[in-house]
Amino acid sequence: MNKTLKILILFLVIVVGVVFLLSQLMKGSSKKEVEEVINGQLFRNTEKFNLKTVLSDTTINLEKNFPYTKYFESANYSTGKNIAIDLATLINFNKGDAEKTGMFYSELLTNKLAEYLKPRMKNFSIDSFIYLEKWAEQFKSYSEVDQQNSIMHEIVYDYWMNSITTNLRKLDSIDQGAKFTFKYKYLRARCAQEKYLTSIGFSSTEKVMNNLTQQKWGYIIKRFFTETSIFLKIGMVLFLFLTLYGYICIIKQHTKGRKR
Amino acid sequence: MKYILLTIVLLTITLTNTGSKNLGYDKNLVDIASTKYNGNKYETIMMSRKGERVKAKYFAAKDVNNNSVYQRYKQWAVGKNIILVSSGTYMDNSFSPVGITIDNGVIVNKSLENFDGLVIVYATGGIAVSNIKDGNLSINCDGGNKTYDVKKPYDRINFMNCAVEVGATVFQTHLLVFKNDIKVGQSNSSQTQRERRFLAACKDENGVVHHFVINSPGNCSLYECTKRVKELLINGKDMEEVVFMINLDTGAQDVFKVYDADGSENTLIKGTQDLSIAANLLVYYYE
Repeated sequence: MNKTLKILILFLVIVVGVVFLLSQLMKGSSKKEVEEVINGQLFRNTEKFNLKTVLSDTTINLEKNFPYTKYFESANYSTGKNIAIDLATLINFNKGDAEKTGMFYSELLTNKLAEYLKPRMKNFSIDSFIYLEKWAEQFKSYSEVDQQNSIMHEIVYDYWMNSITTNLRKLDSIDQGAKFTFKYKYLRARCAQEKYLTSIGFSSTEKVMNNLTQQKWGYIIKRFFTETSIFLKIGMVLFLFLTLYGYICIIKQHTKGRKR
Repeated sequence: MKYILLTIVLLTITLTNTGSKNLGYDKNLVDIASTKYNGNKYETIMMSRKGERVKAKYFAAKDVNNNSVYQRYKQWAVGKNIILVSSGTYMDNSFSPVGITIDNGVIVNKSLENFDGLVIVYATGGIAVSNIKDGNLSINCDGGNKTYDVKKPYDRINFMNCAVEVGATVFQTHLLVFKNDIKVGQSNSSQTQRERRFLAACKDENGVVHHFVINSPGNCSLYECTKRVKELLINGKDMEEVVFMINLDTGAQDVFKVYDADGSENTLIKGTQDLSIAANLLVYYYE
């Protein structure tokens, strides 16, 4: 093989290697820019809304006439104290029917609140979900102390924890680099502590790495022969050949130098 | 004195071995076969639930003392007549089970995944599978059957509380066939051409329930394999109805061991991985 051809092959191998490495690095950094916080005011509203005034008319249809937007823009559902006051007002409105009130209030703080938040959550933001998780967590404690409305609090807590894990999975699917950020890891760990596991699947590279670390050689070889394309097989054989050829050249050159 | 000591040692060895030995099962209830149907190879283990002697057990995760699934299985299997042991459902990159998972009444994962199948393995050894989409998941609770729609938060909480109370084992997975209908779509399922393994429960013409574990060693997509295996069960195995069919993991944890009726390990039908790596295990045994 003449010298120019050798240099050309070496150059090609280096170029292919560099392009491969760069493409792998770019994969991680080509993430979509995300909105930092959905709404700085969310769960931080300080102004309270007087539910008693709205419910003074006891003949209204609660589901239809409830001022959902006004309620979600208020501070009424941000703390346990405020929630307890509103729950008492609603139970009073429902003539002491705690179960009916619980069903309404849990729907209010799950599906209805999710509808209200939907436009703001178009762009995923870890910060938003950290806010949500912090807010949802309090319902777990309420469920333990407020026995009368225990199920209602559990429902709200479960709904948002499930929503957060679903959104973490979505975020991972659109941005493979996200799971390596501190905030993502923190939130995932918080959810896992509460037994809401964010099941993130193996990427192709992770699968290979996992099989390599577990030394599943037979399995790797089998998968390589049965599932890869003919081009990849040829590519791998060429890569192996070139690598071996490189070693042979080095050894030859080394022994030549020694003889001299 | 020497002879007495020798006798004690031999007796101890014999007793220890008897305790852990797989004594086998009634061969009339289990049929292990390698078959070819419509040009495709299959390995089938057909287990009759007649008399409810053949039972299922599922190990979904590590226990509270951090014992691995393998350690738990080894401890539990002492004195049991094992028919087969296989890797169960999917795991994620932390080797945790994917979807709602409750192990022996202990909640492992509360996250609802986008899989239609919810499997309940009862402490009595029975298996029930529900289609989450139908919203009528049924579970024996408080001495009666209760129905839940786990998509609704209120029902999901009550269902989980009930499963914990009765010590049930629950996991979520892809539902491939339900009441004779193929539930997996051609375009929205895994197109990867690979070997696959399924768990199916079928009813024969007499209404007797048979459980099948089917190995499909040839490469095919999830939909294609499902279609072929359903045909095999209906036409090749003369089953009247495929009550359910779910997918078993043959990926990173391809664990599968089958035992013959005399209790010896079947060396022809097996998985590629050692039992010790399994993140979850489905076991069928005879009692």
